[in-house]
Amino acid sequence: MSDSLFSRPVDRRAVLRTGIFGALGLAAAPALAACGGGSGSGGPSGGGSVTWGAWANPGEGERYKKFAEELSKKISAKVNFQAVVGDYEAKLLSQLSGGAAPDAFYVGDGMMAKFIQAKQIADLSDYIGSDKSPVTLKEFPEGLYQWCKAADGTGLYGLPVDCNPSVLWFNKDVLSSAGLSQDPSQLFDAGSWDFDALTAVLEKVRASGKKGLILANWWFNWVWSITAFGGKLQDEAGKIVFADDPKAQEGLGWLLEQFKSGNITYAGSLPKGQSGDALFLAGQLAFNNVGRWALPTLKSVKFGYDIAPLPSPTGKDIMPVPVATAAIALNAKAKNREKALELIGNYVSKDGQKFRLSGGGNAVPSITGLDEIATEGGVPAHAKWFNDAVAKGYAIPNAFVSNPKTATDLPVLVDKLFKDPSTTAASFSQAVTKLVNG
Amino acid sequence: MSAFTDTATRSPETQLRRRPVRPAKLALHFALVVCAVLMALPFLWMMFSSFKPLDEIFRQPPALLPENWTTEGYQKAFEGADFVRGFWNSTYIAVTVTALSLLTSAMAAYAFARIDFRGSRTLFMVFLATMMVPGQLTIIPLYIIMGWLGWIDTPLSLIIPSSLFSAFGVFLMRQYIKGIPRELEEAAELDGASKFRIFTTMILPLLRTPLTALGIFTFLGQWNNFFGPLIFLNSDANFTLPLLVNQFKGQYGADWTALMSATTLVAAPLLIIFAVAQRQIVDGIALSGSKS
Amino acid sequence: MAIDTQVRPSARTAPSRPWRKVSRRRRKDTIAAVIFLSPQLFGLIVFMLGPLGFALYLAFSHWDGFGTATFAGLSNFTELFDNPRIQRSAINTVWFTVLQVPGVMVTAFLFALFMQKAGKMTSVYRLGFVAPVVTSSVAVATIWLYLFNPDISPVNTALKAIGLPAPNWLQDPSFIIPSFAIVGIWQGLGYQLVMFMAGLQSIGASYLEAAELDGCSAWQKLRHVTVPLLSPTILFLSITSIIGSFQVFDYIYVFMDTNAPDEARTIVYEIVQMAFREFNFGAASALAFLLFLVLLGVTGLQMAAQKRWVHYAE
Repeated sequence: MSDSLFSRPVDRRAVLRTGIFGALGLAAAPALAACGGGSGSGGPSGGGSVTWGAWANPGEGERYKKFAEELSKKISAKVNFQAVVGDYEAKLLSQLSGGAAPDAFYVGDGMMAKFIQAKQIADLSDYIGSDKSPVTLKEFPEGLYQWCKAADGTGLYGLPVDCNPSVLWFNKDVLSSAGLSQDPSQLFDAGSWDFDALTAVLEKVRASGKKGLILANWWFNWVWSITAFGGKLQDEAGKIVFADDPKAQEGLGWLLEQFKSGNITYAGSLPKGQSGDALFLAGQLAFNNVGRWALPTLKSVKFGYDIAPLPSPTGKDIMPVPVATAAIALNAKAKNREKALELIGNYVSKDGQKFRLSGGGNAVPSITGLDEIATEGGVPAHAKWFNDAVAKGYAIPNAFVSNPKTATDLPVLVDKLFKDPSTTAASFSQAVTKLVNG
Repeated sequence: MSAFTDTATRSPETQLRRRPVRPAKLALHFALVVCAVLMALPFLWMMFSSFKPLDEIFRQPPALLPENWTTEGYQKAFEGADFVRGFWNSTYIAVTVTALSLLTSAMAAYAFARIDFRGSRTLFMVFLATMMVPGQLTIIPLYIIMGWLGWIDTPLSLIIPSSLFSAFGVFLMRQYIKGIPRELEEAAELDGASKFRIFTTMILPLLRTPLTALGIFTFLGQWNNFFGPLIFLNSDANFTLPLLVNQFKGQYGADWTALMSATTLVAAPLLIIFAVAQRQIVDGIALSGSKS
Repeated sequence: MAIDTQVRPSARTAPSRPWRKVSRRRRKDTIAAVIFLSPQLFGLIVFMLGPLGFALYLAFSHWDGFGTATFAGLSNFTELFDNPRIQRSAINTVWFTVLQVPGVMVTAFLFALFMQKAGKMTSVYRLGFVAPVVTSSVAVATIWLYLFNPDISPVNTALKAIGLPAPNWLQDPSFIIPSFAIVGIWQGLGYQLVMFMAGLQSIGASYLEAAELDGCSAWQKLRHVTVPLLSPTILFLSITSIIGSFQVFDYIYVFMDTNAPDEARTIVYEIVQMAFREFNFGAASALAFLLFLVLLGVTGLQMAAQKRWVHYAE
């Protein structure tokens, strides 16, 4: 026995030694490879280099890299793209506190107010007002960039890179098997796409045993019930005022009623995309209330689909609805400020957006005059409504994100209210107003 | 504990031979098959879904096997991300960390288990206590340290900290070493063998089984590590597999077919490694069992 | 796997030897210990204690992630104690631990016992049990969201069929934490099974055979031989899994994203929310510090209690 115990060590030790040295060699090789493999080689470098960071799916990443190549030539500086593929806030925060954040980076709605207040991002108004800028503020729909201003309404700390309006995607097959002869886009064209019409459709779908619509606690999914009814959401000072607006109350009341009747299902606090998407793709859901980002996935389904705007009181108007958007901002400590500004300008300019968004199919330009992007390829059939919805739409109300605590507390509060069967339009409005108006 | 003191483990084979198959045994096997399949069902669903077209992934009620087999998801995954590169990046980080951390953990564990030195107990408690620190909290100072060292966006930022610090590894190895009888070492020490000689020729070989187990867990942890690479790596040429997979999740909506394929690509090697390595553990124990 | 808090006198330092020799030996030993410990010691100081010191400093400061931190005294701690959501998170965390740790340990132990008897098929079955460990969180989330969706879940259909109430798992406040615990048990089973099986295989058959000769029943063997001999493994697993489940975070993140309702939040989830979404690093650090103290206390109690029930083979 002891023989077998002691005959092993030698082999084992040799194995272990080779293993470790092998591993060390292994560690060195990629470290060398990384030097050449990164993003340092070639390209014009008269103006140094400039980097922007953003979240991106593989398709976007591919186009952003091509965009970086093109832009390198245009602004004669090496342009690099840094993709963040997960917890964007944690990554950016680490980079900022370590002084290693990119020169320009995407900022989501939850972070904007804090970054402005902590002076991590710089005011872009001078640049965008100057003749150096390839883009002017006038080209953006006004509702899209209000959230990029400081708390006192001054400055402009970010520019929307692209956007996604809140629309209703519908499954034609589910609707026709529920016995509906006209789909919502036809109803809209006939001028009868009002909330009664939507309610009727949802009821028929429910009777057919399928789900009508699933909504989450994301502002994008419920704030339209205020504005599509013609209600007033916020005043000029950015305060939330829907509690005092009868139309807004009517809209919220309608929404709560649909939850109660089961026409609309409240999904609870499930991750974005987990609530409605899966059922919609499975052909079990009539409507999905998402943006244009749903398109790439839908291209490979077998059922017929199209979009309709959210209904209006008149049945023929496109009402103001939420538009999801992100902004690109200038790092206040950018190493290459001048080129970073050029990068930002060219990023959101008409040419820049056309280059980035063409062929991608997952967003709508945040700038006017590029209608052909959203209607590209003719899918969905009524894609033109994306543009109309953006033109009238609004990004997240400032009051919702005026400070990071409010921004994280709001969805939790809304979740609680939507789950509570005793919630009324008035009690809902009161609680939300109390939280966001502070 | 007594992992190595015993020499008479009944090997499964002998047990099987000794007794005829009884209904109770059949029931046991039946129950275990059902449970094992139920446990593995999500994995199997993921694997088979990677060969489904999109509409089948979401079919209600879900079917396990694809109706129309397709490799579309894999094509999209390979088009969307450089998996060869990611595979290489993940492999060398996981292999290097595993090798180095097994060595450093075993070394430290040996010191804690076998050498009397002032403050041994306190220091060990400090090691134990660090396991109770939620890791998310130290990420920002760690990032700043990596910045000082110039390791941001290099594999070193992931390899060095995990190779040089593993409270769990030290804890586990110490427990095993404490279970090894001292007599042999004491005899060797009386013969003038140094601690280093004892460690390399006597202790390390005896740690084969626990090191394999710890190695699997370390490798698994490194292979699946998402947060570290996300924070420390910037260039996609350096990205590890979990980062590449996560790309398909997107900010708003996922690319489901590619996602299923990519996750399968990442998980399958782990299961294969486990399948191979567990046989080794069993073999090692069977060997010692046959000796008596 | 004895976690002894007692430094046992070893034969080497027995008093029969000349003192001088012992002290020289001791010095030599200390040098050897330093060398053996040096890589891990370096890592401990640079990559753990350093960042930890910073976090501890933050616990007594106001810091938003940028700029300079200002001294806050104990205000971060009072802020936490005044926050009802934190109390709720603490209860949720303990509830999760109470459900998950015994759940996974008992199941893993039982399956390990059964698998001992499964012969050659053991390694095949074991693969099935280990599969959840390697299943990606995306697949985990997708499948469990389906299983937890009351409208389509086959589990709920089955429950209804046998006349039991079918819960709305992730929406009903009283079922959220148990739902997470179920996923936690499912995913933690494989690892503990492997550990228990390694422990069981190392128990000498001679012990069990001796017990059999003494006329012990199967239950008596389990009670008086197997469990005591496995007790070091049980202690190791209970310490590490309590630490693990007190730090549970990813399930909530995977199932609820960044806006989980109060009924679903755990302490580490709060820490991450406060630090990275609300930019309140002071309070986040203070909460982490409290969690650390609690875990230290719980582990200390386990270590103190071990003398009563943990059997050392040595």
